[in-house]
This record gives sequence, C-alpha cells and structure tokens, in this order.
Amino acid sequence: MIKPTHFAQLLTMAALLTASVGCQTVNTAQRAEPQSQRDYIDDQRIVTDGSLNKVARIISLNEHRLENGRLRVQAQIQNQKKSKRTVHYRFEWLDTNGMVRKSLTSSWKAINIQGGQMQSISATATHADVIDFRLELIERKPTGLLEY
Amino acid sequence: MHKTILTTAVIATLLTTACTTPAKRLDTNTRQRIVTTSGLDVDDAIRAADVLTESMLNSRVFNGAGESIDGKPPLIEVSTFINNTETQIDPDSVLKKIRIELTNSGLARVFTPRGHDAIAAEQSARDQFRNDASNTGRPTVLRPDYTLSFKIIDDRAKAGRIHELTYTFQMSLTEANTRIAAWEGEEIISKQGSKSTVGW
Repeated sequence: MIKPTHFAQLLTMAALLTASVGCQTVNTAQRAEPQSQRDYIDDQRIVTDGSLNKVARIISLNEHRLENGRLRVQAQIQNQKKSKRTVHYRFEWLDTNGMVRKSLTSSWKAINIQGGQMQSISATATHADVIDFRLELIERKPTGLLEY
Repeated sequence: MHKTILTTAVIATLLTTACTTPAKRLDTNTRQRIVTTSGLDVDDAIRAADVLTESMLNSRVFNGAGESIDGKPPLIEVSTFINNTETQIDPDSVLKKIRIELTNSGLARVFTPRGHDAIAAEQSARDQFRNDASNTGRPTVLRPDYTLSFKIIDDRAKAGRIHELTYTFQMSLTEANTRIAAWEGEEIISKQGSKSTVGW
C-alpha cells in the first residue's frame, strides 16, 4: 500500500523527469570577433504569433549578391525556449516593381530547432530582377489544428 | 413519438456529417498535403528540387565560369536518370521543376537528347528541320557545355509499427568536354510514422 506522501513524492519525481526529458538545450561556441563581414539588412517585422516569436526569434538578416546578380538572403533565428520545436519558413521574392516573383525557392521548408539553438536559414532568388524579399515563419501545430 | 423519430434523425444526420471529411481543393503551396511513409510525396519532390536548384545556383557554373563561348547561358543536356528505389518514380517529378526554374530565369539552356523524351525529340526534330531549311542544309548538332545526371536511392526501415523511409537525391553537373564534375548536390529526405497524416 503506497502512502499518500510517498505517492506525492513519486508524482513530483515523475513530473521532474518528464520536464527534464522535454527540456534539452544547445550550448554554442564561436570566434569572439567574427572575421566575416555581413551585409546586414534593416528589417521591418509583423509579429502576429507571440509564441512563435520566442520559438524562432529573428536575430539578424543579411544579404549577398552573387556574381550572376541573384539575391541571396540569410536569416539567423534562435529558439529561445528550452525544448525542440519545428518551424516552417519560406522566402518570397519581389521584383523591381514590387511584384511577387513565383519561384521554386519560395516553397515552404521545415526545420527543427533545439532549445536555445541558433540556426541560419537562407535562400537564393533565381530571377536576376529580384531586389526585395519577405520571410514568413510559422510554427508547426498539432495535426488537425493546421488551417493554412 | 414523432418527436423521438425526428430527434433520432437529427442526431444520426449530425453524426454522419461529423464523421466524414468533405473533399476540398488545396492551394498548391499548402502545408496540408498528406504525408506518406510508403512513397515519394509531391512535397518531397518540391523540397528536393528546391534545395538542389539553390545549391546549383550558388555554384561557379552559374556565376561566370559556366558561360558558353558565345556568352550565352550554359547549354545543359539532361543525360541520365537512375532510379534505385523499390518504386517507379517519374524523373520529371523533380527534374522538370529544376528545368523550369533554370530555363525561365534565363540561367541555362536545357535540352534532352533525342530518344530520351518523346515530346522533346519531336520538338528537336522540328527545330532541326527548320534550321536545315533556312541555313545551309547541314544538320545542326547541339554540343552541350554540361551534362546533368540524376539518381534517386531509397532506404526503408521498420521498428514495430513505425516505418521510416529515406530518399537520397543525387545530382551531378559534368563538363561535357573534360568529364570533370563541375557541381554535385545531394538532398536527403527522411519520413517516419505509423500511418499517413495530413500536414508536414
């Protein structure tokens, strides 16, 4: 017969164990003064999902023009939660007239980000007249709640 | 009595409606397609094509080094497709997407040699006839700058009720004259689950 006090202790231990399994974060190290030179972009953000903003916070955005004139964009995102999350993202490309350029490289992609981990996501525009972009992020919700 | 029958009928109708999923059309860029662990999905093909195109785009072939002697975008011949999977896969499920992107963005001129593709062969024959008639009468032979080869491999595993399916897409762009690889790309897509689901 388990006493109520023992039962409570067991329950607490089980809860702690579950929490410790769920929370797994990444430790990172890098050069103190990076030698690469990034061309940072001043960005404007529209946050409609505050929770996602913690799961995949955009730390910085930088760009680079390839020799063939194509625009390459990179975003540094960080999961500021303590557990692994799955996020979907896509880059949309805009030409000189502000019109969206449909492209294969604009498809949705999924990434898993560990707790505390920083990841780089990037994409390259295939059309030479692309000068702007829009990055969209969405968090994976349980199946059945997805309505997109 | 009538009230009971009516109530039963209403409940039955509600239950029937709730248990069926009405068919609907999906946006082509949706995230709600069915994910299977038995074969290649549309989304797998899109992802493979997307990643390989981007990798190819960042290579030296498309950044000055790959231009033809006449300054035009490189001429690429789609040479081989090897399907080392258990299922039949149409190479165009991935290749066509890459070709569309390369051609429409003006990055490359892509062609399929006669015999590989019936429609392309017909078009090629028509073009050649036109060239022969308008020029000297000598047949025009296309000499590619690069050849593109494509291979798909699958790997299946099972642990209890959980199935795991991994597709490896390998692509190579080889200099036609030297046969030296100019770019190589590989994309691995793994899926795991006990049954098909909706959404990624």
